[in-house]
Amino acid sequence: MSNPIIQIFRFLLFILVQALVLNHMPPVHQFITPYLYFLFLIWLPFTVPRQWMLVLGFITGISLDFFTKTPGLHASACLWLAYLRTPLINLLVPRETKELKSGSPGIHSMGFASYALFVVVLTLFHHGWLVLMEWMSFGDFFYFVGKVLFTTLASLVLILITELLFRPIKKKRIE
Amino acid sequence: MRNFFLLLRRFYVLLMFLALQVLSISLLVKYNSSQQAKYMELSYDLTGKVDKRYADVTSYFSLGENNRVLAEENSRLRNELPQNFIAIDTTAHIRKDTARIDSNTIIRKYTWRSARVINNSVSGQNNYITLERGSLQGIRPEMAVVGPGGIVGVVTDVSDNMAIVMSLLHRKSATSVMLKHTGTNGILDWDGKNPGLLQLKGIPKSEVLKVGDTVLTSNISLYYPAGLMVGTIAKFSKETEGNNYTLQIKPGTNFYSVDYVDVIENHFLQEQRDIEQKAKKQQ
Repeated sequence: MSNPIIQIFRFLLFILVQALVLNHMPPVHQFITPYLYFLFLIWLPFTVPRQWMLVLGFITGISLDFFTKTPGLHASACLWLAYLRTPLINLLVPRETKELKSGSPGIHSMGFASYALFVVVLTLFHHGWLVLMEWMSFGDFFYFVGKVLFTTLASLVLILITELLFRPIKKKRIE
Repeated sequence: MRNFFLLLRRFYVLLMFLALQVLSISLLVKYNSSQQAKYMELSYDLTGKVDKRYADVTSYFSLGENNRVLAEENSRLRNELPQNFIAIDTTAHIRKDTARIDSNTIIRKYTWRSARVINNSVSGQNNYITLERGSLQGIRPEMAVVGPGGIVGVVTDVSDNMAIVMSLLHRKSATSVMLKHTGTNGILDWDGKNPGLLQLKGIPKSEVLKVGDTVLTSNISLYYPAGLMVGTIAKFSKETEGNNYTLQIKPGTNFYSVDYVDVIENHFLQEQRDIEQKAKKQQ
């Protein structure tokens, strides 16, 4: 899975799906814009060095920014995600799992509870920063909180669907 | 000195994070404030191609709706033809001068050019629309953009073959509009919440209003010709303080599906700017 070509392909796919499908969906409600593209950063292997993680985060964000004509907005949110990813992995993943070279965050490698926590925390940080930057001077506090919460919920549902579709949990063979 | 390098090495990742963060925030602030960012031109060429392909595909889905809108517009325009009117007095007959430039009195003030929309957003706080027409096809910044249903926005950035339009759904958008039945002027802007409602401020409480009243572009608007459709009043409530209403306007344009628009050039824009600037200096 750590094959660079697969990663590049996945990167392009995520950015295009976000820019051409999700951003064009008629919003379900004024609060909700679903985001999925940052799953690319979440799914990167454990072994990516921290400085490269930052560079990749910046590139991912700025490529989406080119489509939405907001240079720096998503890049800034992705940088937070990239910066916090490694310390979170260190907290949540036992050392033995990380030493498997091919490993990347997922339900098999981390277990459901820690993977869910990992995704929720990163998504919340990404959305919180994004909404804060969009509303450079947010007047209404509850609007801010509401938008962060509901956008996060919508994104989590999408992430769950993506997980189930593309990385199904393999059943353990009972002997 | 050695300690300094050790310190650098220790906080290498943090420093890199901060540097990149400062870079992206400065990009964001700079682009939003100047609106004329040259460095985005490169990205228009790149993403413009993808956007064009996408628009080629999605335009099929709205063909029916577009046909209906165009047919409506055609019949409206046909109704204005001089042949439809007869003069009761048989000795007189109506003539309409079709010459665009008359050496005596008539000078062209506005030029309309049609353009196709290849990218459009409604989900953000600051929404932009991309047009497939650029400086080579005569588009310049500050031209007004109008769709079949009503006004859409103002051109802000132009590359060779693409133009970026600041839609009415933009936090910095402010348009001078008027009520159709009295001609009272107000400013139309957007609070960034619901893409189906714009806000009109500055209408005094002495006005008698009804839900459904039409709002048009005003005669003092710099970019738009006067009297273009803007939208209808959806809701009005008196502000608790002050003399003015806050009106909720339902835009005539459906921002979820803009496909073809007209770009309007005001030939007098620069002249008006210059003379107003001069008047300001003399004070």
